[in-house]
Amino acid sequence: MSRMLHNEYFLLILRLTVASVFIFAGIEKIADPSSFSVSIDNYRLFPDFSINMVAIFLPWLEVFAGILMLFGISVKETALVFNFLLILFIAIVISALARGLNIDCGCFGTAAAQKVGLTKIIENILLLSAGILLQINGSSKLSVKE
Amino acid sequence: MKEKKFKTIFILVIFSALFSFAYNNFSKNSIPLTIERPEIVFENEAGKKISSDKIKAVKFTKAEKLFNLGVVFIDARDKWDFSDGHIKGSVNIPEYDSDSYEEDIKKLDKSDSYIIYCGGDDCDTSVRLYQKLAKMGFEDLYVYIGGWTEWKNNNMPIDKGTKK
Repeated sequence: MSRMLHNEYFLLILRLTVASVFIFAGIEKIADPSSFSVSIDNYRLFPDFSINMVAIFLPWLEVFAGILMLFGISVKETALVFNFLLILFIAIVISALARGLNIDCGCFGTAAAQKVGLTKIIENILLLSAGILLQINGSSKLSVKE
Repeated sequence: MKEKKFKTIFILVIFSALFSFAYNNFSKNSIPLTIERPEIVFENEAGKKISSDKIKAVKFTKAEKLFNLGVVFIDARDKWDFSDGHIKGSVNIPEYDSDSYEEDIKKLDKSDSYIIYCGGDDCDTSVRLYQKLAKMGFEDLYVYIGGWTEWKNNNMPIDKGTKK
């Protein structure tokens, strides 16, 4: 098991998966920033002045970090950024569930209208597990430096 | 090593921030840096004119009165919530729906009165739909702030199932 977790092909698959998910999520949000702003607003967690700034900035961070990770550049660093975001997303979804909010998660913009819920948390935990492995081991297979 | 790591992340974050705000500035989908919330004004019984940039809202008693007069309600919640139960006779126009959205709006008469509601006083979809319809030229709109929760709690007439 331990050997598999360090297998460079296994890490490559994780890297490509995590990177693609974030790039896709970012692009979908960039395409429709006002819907994403509404989704953030629906969580009722953020002060008014910050909502649109998050809606403008976060998708591009996801895309740029995703592109770096896809090409195997600074994998450990981008994994750290993604892990930080994923922990934040998990906390936000749990808080929405705890408050009984029945809202769209806004995770992939409006491309996949997913409600906040347990599936979302599990999805994020799986991504986070992959992210942690990448943060520890990195992945240089098929990278631009190789 | 650790220092280099944080330097990389710092550069990534700063670059993304600069790029994203520049992009937003020039993009055709650009959004303002901060959100502007419309002011909600409750219609008073004397019928004083409310300026058009504000949202006209009604409380339960007024909503009930208009319901009894036969004014059509618009449910701005999603189709699943609508199907679980909605104000009797209401029309479902969910925010992110897809295919039938434009068609459903076209079926409405711009000179008629409509009362828009969503889940309750902590949802904004009714207000956003109000703004959208007002922009399209609808003249007599109201938001029913108490929404579905208040209506149901007062044992008012409801329907179940999807729209036909």
